[in-house]
Amino acid sequence: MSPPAPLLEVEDLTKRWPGTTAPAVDAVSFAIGEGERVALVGASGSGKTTLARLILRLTEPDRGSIRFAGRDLLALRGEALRRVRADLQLVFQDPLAALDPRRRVGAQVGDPLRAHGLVPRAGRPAAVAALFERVGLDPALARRYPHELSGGQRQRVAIARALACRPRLLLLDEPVAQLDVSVKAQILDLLARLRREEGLAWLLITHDLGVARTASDRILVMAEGRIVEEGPTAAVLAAPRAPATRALVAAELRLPPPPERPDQPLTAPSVSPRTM
Amino acid sequence: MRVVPLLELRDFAVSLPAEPAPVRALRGLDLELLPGERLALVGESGSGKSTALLAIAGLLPDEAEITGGRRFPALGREPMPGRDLGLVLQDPFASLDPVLSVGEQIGEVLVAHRGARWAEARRAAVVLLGRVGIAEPEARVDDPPHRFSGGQRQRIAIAMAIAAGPRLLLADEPTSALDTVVQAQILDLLDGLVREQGTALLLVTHDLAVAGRIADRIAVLYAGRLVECGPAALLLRHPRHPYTRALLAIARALEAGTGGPLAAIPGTPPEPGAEPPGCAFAPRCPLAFARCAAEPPAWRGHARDGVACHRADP
Repeated sequence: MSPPAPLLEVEDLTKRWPGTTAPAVDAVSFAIGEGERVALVGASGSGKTTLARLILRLTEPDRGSIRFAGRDLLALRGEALRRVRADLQLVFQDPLAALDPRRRVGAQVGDPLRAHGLVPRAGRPAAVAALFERVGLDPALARRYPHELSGGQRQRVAIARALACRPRLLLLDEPVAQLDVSVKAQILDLLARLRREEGLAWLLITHDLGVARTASDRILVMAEGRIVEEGPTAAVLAAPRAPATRALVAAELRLPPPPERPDQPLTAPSVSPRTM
Repeated sequence: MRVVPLLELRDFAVSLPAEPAPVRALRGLDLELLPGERLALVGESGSGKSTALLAIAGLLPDEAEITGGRRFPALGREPMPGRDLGLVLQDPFASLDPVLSVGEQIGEVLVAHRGARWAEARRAAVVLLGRVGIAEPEARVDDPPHRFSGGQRQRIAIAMAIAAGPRLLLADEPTSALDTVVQAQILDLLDGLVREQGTALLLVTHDLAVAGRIADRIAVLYAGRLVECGPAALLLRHPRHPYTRALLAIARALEAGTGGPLAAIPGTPPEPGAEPPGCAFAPRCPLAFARCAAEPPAWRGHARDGVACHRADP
């Protein structure tokens, strides 16, 4: 089987922030194929966030290249850049920071449809409602403001907005770090379903190795601006080689294993479940 | 001989003012903490865990309506924050003053609560900074908080919280803003300090693995009520309440990364103003039957080890 065609290709990417000695991102190269799930892990200050900012072109590199779907992202300007950017969408850790507190969430999900001229004005409310349904939200919530939603609902809104342009690559920056365990599971399940349906690829930035195991096939480990280890997620985390990977694995808190013989079911029902 | 508890909550309830109706954040909590014991209060957003911590610290707003018992039998009086109680919050910036040096802030606790003079307080601050793992404390004691990393700031907040030698340390999600490596270091630090000093610890967290790492006992809250509590090792291996079971199943599936749906708990917790007549978890519970929606489950077991579920054995 031939490897999937690269969707994102990063080569020799380097960025040193003014006033610092060591580069935040130091000669980083990697590729993400169409539909591939890649995790980027590392401790705080390892360079993950700077790398993400470079890929999104929120800051310019000192050196190196970024190609997206075969096009040189760094050379694109204006309308051409905007079109490529529609294919590359971002979901942040904190959806509250990413959403405008004074506008209804439905209007904000509709923004990309307008900006990229994807849906004529008359069709937008229906398109927004369809996006809400795709991410498991009641379309009636479109009339609410961000603060009127729960953290999980807000993250669904952010995902709906990212999906509006039918992107090929999602950049997920700690998308579940601030969510409760049960909501975290719901959002990861949602992302998995959307990927199956849309054939999305993603670069998932996380410091949570459990999230990386669940939502990636390949993992990149960053330390001091460099990629120090790379490979299939399960294999790398089961037998880490680089010191930085070992430190991450050693620091991971694990629950005690469940008993080998599962617990007896709870007291047998007097009536069948779900008859309430 | 029975050990006199440090903290005792009996049918403890808190309503917080809100529009359109007050929020019943805690709906009758029975909880007991022994001297030197380490208890984790586990729950998700809206479970009431942070309200419980603030209520225990005596830091709820004046408008909060409080009923039931909150006593400190081993202390014999209302605890004084700073002296009898240390407090560590998720965001160390919330407990640190940005303009004062870290030495002044730690020293102030000793001057206020231990009658120290400033010169000795500063020396003690250097020792405390060293104990919480700040390298070269002598050189850093006069630095303001912004000169330190997030993990170091949390260490400094812990130094302040333990400075006066409190009987009880209250910690609200102290590591959830930190990365994994720093989180493990801070938990080790807290663990070592409370063991050394025999301080009781009440840790609020949404993360069962954090609870399992540091607590002797775990109490699980849902919608303002205790659904289960018991010895940490036992509760994590043999959870009795369907909510605890579901949370653990998700956490283990996430750890293992086995793929497939994470068996997320369907639905959402009840709205803050809702008054479900039966068990608050019933609408999301795979084992619920008619009685669950009609009648709140009684607590089975005792104050330190029990479960509130019609379907569970104590």
